[in-house]
Amino acid sequence: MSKIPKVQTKDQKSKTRRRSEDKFAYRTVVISTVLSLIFFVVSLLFNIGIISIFADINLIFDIIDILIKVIAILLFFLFMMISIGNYKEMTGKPLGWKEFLLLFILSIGQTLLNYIVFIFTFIGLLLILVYLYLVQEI
Amino acid sequence: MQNNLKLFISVQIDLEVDAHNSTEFIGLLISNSSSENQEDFIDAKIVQFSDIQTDEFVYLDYVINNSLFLNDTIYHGEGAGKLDGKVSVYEFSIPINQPLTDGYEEDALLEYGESYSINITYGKTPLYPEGIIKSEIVLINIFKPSEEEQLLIDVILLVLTIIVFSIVGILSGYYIYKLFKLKEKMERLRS
Repeated sequence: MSKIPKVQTKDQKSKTRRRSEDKFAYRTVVISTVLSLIFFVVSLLFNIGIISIFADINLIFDIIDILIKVIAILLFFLFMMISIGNYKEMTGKPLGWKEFLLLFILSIGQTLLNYIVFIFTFIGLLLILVYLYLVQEI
Repeated sequence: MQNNLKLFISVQIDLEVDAHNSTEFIGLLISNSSSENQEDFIDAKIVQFSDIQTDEFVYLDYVINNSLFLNDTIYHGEGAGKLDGKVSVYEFSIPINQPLTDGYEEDALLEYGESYSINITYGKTPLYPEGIIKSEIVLINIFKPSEEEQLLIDVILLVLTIIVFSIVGILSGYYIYKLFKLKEKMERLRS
């Protein structure tokens, strides 16, 4: 048999693998976006005070309230970062510091009504940034 | 509204043009606390029209003693009234945090950080209290100057937070649109 069909089969396999990878990457982008939007809605409800079921009851409920607010913002930031990172990778462009900075400001901007939430979210965001930086370096 | 020295109250009466009486009045009966008991309303500030069509009015300051309205020796505060179409508008400015001298002993002393019941009364004839035909009690909180500033800061922060959430919402919508476009592009490349 000639070698030409073998090359075609290899190309086809490569194409199929590429499509499968793209499909997987796109699915990751979509899932990350959906998760980040869910946490955005949770952050909206709790940080603006539309839901205040845990606020001003006692110290434990206050801590739960703060934890929900902080975790919602941090997970929004993390999943949106993953989503944008994968999206940029799919479109062949690098993730720049402008996107990082914008997302950082928009995340910290959600905490303006509570200085305790602001402090913990700021620390949390810095830790996530350090973690992402170290993961990239490795 | 209030500033460090005065409490400002505006009252609007929206009636059919013919329903306004030429000698109507609005009175603020001020309690010495948040109590709504009749005997606790010790001070009255009244804007009394003598002819509403020509915007002629007088501002009156009374001390209330056992439901008797007695003229204050010194009037404190200011009041004005104006008929504007169907709406008659009354505005009062009442001193707050004043010392118990200079005739202020005849007034309800409004102190920072306290709440006071104010009975807003409406009447058509210049007789007090007989001329009162409608009244509504409201509770007014007198903020400390610092509290008022804090309230302003809170409002600014709330507005900023809403702006941030709105921006995130708009950018998320745009991002989802871009994701759909990317999916379409991927499907085109596949076929």
